[in-house]
Amino acid sequence: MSERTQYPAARLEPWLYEIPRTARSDMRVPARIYADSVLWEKLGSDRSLEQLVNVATLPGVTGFVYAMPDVHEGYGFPVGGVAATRMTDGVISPGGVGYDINCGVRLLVSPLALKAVRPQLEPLVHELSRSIPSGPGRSPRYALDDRELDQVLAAGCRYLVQRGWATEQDLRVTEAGGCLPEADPAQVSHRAKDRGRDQLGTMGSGNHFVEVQVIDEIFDDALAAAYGLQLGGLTVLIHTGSRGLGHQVCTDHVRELDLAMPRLGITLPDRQLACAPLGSPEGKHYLAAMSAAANFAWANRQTITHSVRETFQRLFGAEGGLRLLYDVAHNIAKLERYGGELLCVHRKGATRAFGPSAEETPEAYRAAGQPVFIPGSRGTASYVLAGTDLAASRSFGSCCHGAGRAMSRGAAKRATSGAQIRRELEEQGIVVRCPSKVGLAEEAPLAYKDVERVVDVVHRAGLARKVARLRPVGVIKG
Amino acid sequence: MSASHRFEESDELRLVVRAESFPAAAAEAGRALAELAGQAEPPETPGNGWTEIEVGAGDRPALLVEWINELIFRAESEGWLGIDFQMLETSPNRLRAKVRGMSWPSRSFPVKAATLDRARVVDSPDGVTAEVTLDV
Repeated sequence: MSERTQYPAARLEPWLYEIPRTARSDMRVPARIYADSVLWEKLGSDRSLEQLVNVATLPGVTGFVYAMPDVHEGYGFPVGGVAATRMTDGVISPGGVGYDINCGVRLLVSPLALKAVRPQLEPLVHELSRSIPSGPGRSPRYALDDRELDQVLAAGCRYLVQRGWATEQDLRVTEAGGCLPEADPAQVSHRAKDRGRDQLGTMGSGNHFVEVQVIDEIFDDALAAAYGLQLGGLTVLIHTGSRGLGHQVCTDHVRELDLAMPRLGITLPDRQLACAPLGSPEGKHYLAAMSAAANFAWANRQTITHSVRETFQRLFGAEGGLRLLYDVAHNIAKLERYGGELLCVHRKGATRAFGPSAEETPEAYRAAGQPVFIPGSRGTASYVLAGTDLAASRSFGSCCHGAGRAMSRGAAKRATSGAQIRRELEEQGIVVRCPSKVGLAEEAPLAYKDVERVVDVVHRAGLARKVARLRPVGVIKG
Repeated sequence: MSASHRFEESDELRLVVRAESFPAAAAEAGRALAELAGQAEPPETPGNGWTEIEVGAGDRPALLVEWINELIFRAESEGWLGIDFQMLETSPNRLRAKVRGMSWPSRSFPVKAATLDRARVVDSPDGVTAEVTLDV
């Protein structure tokens, strides 16, 4: 037993702890936490475990609720949390998805090596920063009229193929093909549409970024070969989500479900977990709206990809092609089948990590498993991993999504400055473009947990296997 | 008791407001948002005139969240920042206010949403304390 939390916890494996169902009378399932002893020791400093126990009280929750090694406090549901609910008697909770619906990551792979690009790195990063609007702002370049926006919400990346901003191959290597079929634009409010109308192709602020990176270590030659990754090769990592549209969808439905819960007979320890049965009109409306916002997010990352590809081609000509390796969500609820049963899997700050046998793993990755991307913080490495079949039984096919915050934005601003972070990055040879010094300080490496330790836990626990490490050489931050 | 507010930073931003009444706390929350947007004091020249805003919710904490989300939406989507607040009518489920606003051309509002996470409104002999977590 561990005394680290207010709840009794047993260490089942060197990287797995369990809070039993009996720890609190309203828990319906046990809670499992992937962490090594160092990460576990730090967990008592915020409310993430209490929030995980709260998630274990959701009606229809099944198996275990999980915390990934990057878990930290969120709104209601911890960031780095995974929970599955039964379709028959379970609920769906906007808090289990988060405000930035389908925030996610995609990796583009260049045939060029860093040494070939190095002389043009500064203009490359500059041009990328000019072509991708950052901060909380908008992009009139890709502004959509009502009909176009509804098509993006309904069809996601599929619609962008018609516009020439995506290829069929891009769709094959995007989670869910870049489109959740449950989407219904009619369930997305006018307010949400107003907020998203001119935000397609924009990065946003907070921890969102575009990074130019070099592959600086290969951990598994066979998996790296399966993904076409070579030491010294150049990659571009894009991290963003559904922008204001997703935020408004979450706001709209938390409000609706908070009002509906007394009528639905649901009582929860935290009202930010507001939820509704999957079979109820309220639950169906949220699933349809959330799916539409997820489609918008995939289209957003694809539109940024289009801008990045244009920039590379302008600078490097025929050699400037960029292959999409994969695009994966880490804030989403999806209908997936486990042991023959259809479940609604909530992943909030958790990445899907399907193995070779999963039906949804793209044909090209059937031998390796689905690519998984774990971004570091600006200046620290990011990781490519491969999903495993074991993850299906150990975490509903999920793993971590990043380093995980260890320090508040305010504390980070007090501990360092944007100018200092910029200087440190530049001393490492990293080209930085960030309009906000404050934003740079808030996302400083010291504000995050050790990404290497987090990745090692998921690797050792068998949730995903380490493939390659990516070191940043150019950072564009919102 | 004069209204006041402060921000507490944990993983996100928490707004704590003290005022003599719930309507005064809601007005102070509006001023706090304007302060976050860099508009701590109403400008001397009039803004875009007064407009009436009405929101409803199940109880006072949710009402405060709804009120803040309404102000965020107008700033981000309509480029209109509320700076001056007169409460016309409040009940535990409804809030109606006259708000004077100013043009907010950047439309890059520093707060994305107000959340129900630990949202609370507590009465005390000397007034009301209201707390809301803001997603930044």
